[in-house]
Amino acid sequence: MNINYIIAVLICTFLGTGCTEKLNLNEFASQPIVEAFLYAGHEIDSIEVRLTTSYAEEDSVISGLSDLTIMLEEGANKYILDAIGNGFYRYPIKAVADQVYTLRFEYNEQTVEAETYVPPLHQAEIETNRIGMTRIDLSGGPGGFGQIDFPDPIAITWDNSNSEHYYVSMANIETESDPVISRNGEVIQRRRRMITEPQIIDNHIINPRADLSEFGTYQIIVYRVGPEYVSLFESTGTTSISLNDPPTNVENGLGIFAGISTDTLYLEVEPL
Amino acid sequence: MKSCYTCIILFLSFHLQAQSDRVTKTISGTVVDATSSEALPFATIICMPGKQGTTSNVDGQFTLFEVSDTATLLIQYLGYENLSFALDADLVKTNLEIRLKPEGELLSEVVVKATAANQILKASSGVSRIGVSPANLAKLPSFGEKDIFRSLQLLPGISGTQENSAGLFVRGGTPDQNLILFDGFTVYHVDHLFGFFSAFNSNAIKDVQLHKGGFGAQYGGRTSSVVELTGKDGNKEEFNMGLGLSLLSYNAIAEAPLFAGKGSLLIAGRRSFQSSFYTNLFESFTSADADAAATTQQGPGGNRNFGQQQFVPNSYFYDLNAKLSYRADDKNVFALSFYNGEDDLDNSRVADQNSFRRPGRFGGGGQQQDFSFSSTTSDLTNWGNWGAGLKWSRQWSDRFYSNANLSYSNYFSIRDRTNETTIMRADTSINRNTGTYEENDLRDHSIKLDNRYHVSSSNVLEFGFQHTINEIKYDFLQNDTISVLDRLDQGSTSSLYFSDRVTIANKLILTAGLRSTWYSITEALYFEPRLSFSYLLSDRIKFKGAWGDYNQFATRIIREDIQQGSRDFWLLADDETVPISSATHYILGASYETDQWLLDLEGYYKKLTGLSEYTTRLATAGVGRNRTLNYEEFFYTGTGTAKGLEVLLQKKRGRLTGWLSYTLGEVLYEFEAFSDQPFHASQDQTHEFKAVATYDLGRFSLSGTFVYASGRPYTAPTGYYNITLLDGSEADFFEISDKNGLRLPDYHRLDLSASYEADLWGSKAEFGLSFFNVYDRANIWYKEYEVVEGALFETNISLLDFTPSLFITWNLK
Repeated sequence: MNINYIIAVLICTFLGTGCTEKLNLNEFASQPIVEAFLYAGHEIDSIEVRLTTSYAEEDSVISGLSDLTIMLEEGANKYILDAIGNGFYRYPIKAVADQVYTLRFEYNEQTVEAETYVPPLHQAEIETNRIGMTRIDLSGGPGGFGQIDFPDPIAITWDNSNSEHYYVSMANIETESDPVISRNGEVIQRRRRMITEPQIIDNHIINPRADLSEFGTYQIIVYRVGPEYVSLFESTGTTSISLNDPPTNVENGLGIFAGISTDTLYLEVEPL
Repeated sequence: MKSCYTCIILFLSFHLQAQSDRVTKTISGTVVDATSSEALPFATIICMPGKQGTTSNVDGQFTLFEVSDTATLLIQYLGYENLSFALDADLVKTNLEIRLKPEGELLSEVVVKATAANQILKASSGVSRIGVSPANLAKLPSFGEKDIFRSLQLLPGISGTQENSAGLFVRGGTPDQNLILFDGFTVYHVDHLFGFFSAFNSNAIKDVQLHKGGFGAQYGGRTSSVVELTGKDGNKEEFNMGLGLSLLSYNAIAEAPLFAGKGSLLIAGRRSFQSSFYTNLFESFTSADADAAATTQQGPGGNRNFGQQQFVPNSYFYDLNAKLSYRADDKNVFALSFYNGEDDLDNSRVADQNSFRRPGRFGGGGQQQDFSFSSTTSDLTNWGNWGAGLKWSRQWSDRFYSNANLSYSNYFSIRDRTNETTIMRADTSINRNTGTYEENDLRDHSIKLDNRYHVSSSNVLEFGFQHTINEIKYDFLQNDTISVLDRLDQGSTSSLYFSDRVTIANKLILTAGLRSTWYSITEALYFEPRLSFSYLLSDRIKFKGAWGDYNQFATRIIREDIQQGSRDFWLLADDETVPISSATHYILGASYETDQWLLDLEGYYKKLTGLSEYTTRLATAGVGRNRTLNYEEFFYTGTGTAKGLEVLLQKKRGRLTGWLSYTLGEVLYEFEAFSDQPFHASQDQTHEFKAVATYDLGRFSLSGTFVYASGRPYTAPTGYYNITLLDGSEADFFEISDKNGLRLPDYHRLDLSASYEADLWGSKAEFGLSFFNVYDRANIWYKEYEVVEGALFETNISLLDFTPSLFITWNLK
């Protein structure tokens, strides 16, 4: 038997079944994105609905959906939100803690729906609301902070016996920056806002040396967030290996509808 | 080219097996290394004329029946010179000890006709079966370490583009679907340095047999392939030792005869060191930059200077092999083999201010306070294997051979990334623990008995059993207290197998077998029929084929993590949440072989069921105020097919040896959860071409390898959106394409190497220089996406660029 014939038969056999036609990408179908946070005790004033942007589009204009009829339900109460333009909606009531809210509208013949729970208000405590720090002037040249005294860390605590997710933000709210460290009167550190990740925690430690770079009033907000926010926050797939559908609590859409409660504390940092 | 004549020593320990006064006899013997007396497993023994043949068992023993006392025996073994000699009336009365000479050795006794076969692989020994010579691997380009699994990736049907994994993607399968046996025990993880090297020290291995599919009934528990590694026994003649050094690691081996030459001990080890070369490799596969990662930690001050810590991550790997062998007599062989390999990455650091006196803070009245602060960050990644096997084999008679194996294998993988901060004052103490702790610990206790019975010269029965107990623990803790996952899988498999190999007219070899396995978790019996054949159309042309069913009960899950290295862990299937995966192999092929050349073609089709894709993610459960957040495991179950055609053209002899190979393949998965139509699996590669060449110039050897492959599929964003988080930052999210709907660019790479063998005062040394990715091709590993000011940017993350390396080895003998 001719070896060439054998080879030809084998190749033809497997070539014939070896490949299917190339799979095509799905057509881009823009989906409605919901971005809505309900803060316990605050007015419902920033519910946004828009469309996703196509990768292929050169023009990346965000398309807000302003002509929707959006229903917000809380128990037996039903509200039709007011459109305020650019895809934003509001309603002049305050979100009530410990209540469940449902958001619903029709888009492309589908019902887009999301539900969230607004967690109860909570109280956080700070060890002290005043602290003194030494003003540091580096005009004298290098030498580091070796001999400079910084205060002890300050603890913020709250009850979290139910293992809920919290995180903390802290920012200096003075209009003018008065830096702890300067050189020839010039600011050498940018103002910054400190933010932690959502975690199951019942305290936060402020390290004055690292966290307090300015004198004045710091506003500290302790957020309690729900599971939908945490799952969105934890989503990190940005590579071709780890890309997955993004987490969402919106049916027939994307984005987030989340209830949040906060407690706000203040810390005064004064020069010694 | 050296002389084609060499020699053998025939030790005459008589063991006559004459069956009658006819001229046909039964002969038996052992094939050993001429310099070390080490048994050579899976050597080919061919009786001419007539072409009756057999292979030696794992102890180098063989038996041939009905051999004419005037026949000529041809013995072949990879890495050794072929040997042929004529039998005579005296020789057939003996239990032959056939001593094969490693290439390059000279002996001085009986001279018989022999030819050098400077081969690295032997691809013609069976259906989808390839033997590899570890001794010859050093001739191929490498990273300074000759690496068995990296070399196997140059074979047809095995992906040669997986630079980030030493595991084998065989015929569309994934590495966890391969059964890796080392001296009888199963090795569950084969990666060093995030997959850049395999966990096996090739200096301690004397034989590698790869079954790419259609493997026999004696193997079970995996659905893709079998890699059977046989460790060196050690030199039974004299003490020997060797040292090796590369830009990456150093290694040593020592071997010594024991028990008056009846036994031997071998110890081999290697360890990496943090050279700049090592660091470059390390950085190319992680985001860690040892220099950039040097951090300064400064704690709160007091009446003294701030504490400062300069920190550089510490990373290394090592492996250790030991084997004690004892050949009590012609019938009984005992061996105790031990293996341990481990990778360790330590990124931990401590900031600690012991209690000290300090002035009171503002509002504290100026009092002195007792205060201490400590912050311990533990960032450890540690994985490895322990394995041990105790073997007893006995040649009960010329016809009956048994091999019993008692083994233990342990794979462990730990990632501890936690931070503990403690602040203590006179009256209060605040502790805060954050981070994750992940541990996978797999234990495998096995007992196995393999038997071979020669019913006649044309009929061989193989049968045996295997019992394996698996215990797999997987813990995933968050913030030191919250148990995200806590699994303890326990189960056992009990298998019986039987196969019959029949040779008809020295032309047709048929092997039929059946393996049955009782799986304790599902309390069900699984049958796996196997069938293979080869038909010699002429001396040069052979047809071959195989069919078989295969089941897999332990599944490895991979959690992709680009920045820190992917995490993997094993689970036992329960056929409810984790399916038992199964495959049916269909293989058909032909080969054309001359003394110089081999042309081998094989087509395969694999039907796959019980495939699982795994993910853990934060998921919400419940409604309203009862809505909770949990880490949940999602096992998506699917089916698939893998099919392809492999062509191998090998030049076996001469100064220039090597092979060209081409694989046409396709792997399609069907998972309803991902797509309503089949999609290409991530390991799918349509075309793959490889060229491997070694040019022998005596003491000099030049080698080159070239790989060209079409791009692998990947998933890409088709659209995006962003959400403004509560802290004011914007997070980007993507709508994604059809699963694996796009293709990366084609992959290609050229590697070159040169080596030189030298005599150093009676000892041997070898120097080598390798160049990886000679023309610096930027092959893409994956793509990264980010949205910047409303535009989606795509970044190609490339695999390793041009990398030169050096090695030197020295051997006393």
